[in-house]
Amino acid sequence: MVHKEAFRQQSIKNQLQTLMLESSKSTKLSHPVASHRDSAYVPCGQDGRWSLLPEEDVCAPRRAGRMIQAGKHTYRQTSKQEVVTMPIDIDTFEHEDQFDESPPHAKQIVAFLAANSDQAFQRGEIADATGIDPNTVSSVLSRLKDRNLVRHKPPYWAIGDRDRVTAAFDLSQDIRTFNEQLGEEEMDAWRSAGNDEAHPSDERNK
Amino acid sequence: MTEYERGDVIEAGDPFTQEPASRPFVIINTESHPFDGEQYVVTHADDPNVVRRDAACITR
Repeated sequence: MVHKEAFRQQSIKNQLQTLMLESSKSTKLSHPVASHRDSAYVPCGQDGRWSLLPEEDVCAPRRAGRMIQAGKHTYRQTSKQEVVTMPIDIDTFEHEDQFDESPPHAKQIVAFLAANSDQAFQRGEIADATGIDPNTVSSVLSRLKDRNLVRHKPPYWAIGDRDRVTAAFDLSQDIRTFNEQLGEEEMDAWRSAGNDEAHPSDERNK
Repeated sequence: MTEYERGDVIEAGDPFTQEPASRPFVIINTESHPFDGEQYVVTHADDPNVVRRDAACITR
């Protein structure tokens, strides 16, 4: 009788461990993105601090049959790893000029490193994981390093400071929102319209 | 790090694209605001919404 109870307790313990393992898997990136379509569903981070990441960079639970809206596209999740595109309605086709909304390579790479913040990767591994050409990955990584968004200890790369990365995603989102709501700015026009004379504060500082 | 002061017009762009700057912003905060020199409260030239920007995101 004692053995039976012990066995039952052990069985419950095993089940709990399995459950915990499953739930921890579901919040971590189980498979890196392979194309821009998949990149919409990358789990970005392991706690609430990443909630500011743009919608298309944040994970949606992977569930077969789930319909996912990302930008102008609708996708259907057919399995844990596979996502297929869906047709768009004709009104959307008539009124939109551009349908390719793949996130910039830099955003895909940062999203991948953020989702795997407990690891550091070599260039080739990042290229394989994101489906981006290795040479492109190199140039993008060095650019991201200049902006302090990634850290580099040859030959490995890891995500940068969380606050810094979050601020960058915020700014990216703000710029996109402004562009959508107000139209894109012509910076050359702004620059040529600027005053050639020094700002009064510059005079004060002399 | 360059110090900015209230009234300065700065340019900022999407940190994830190659384009260095795509929109102008006006610095609002003063030295008395917290994190002056690290973060700036800015407003868009055409929009009353005030946003807070990380100094590292500012390009000019």
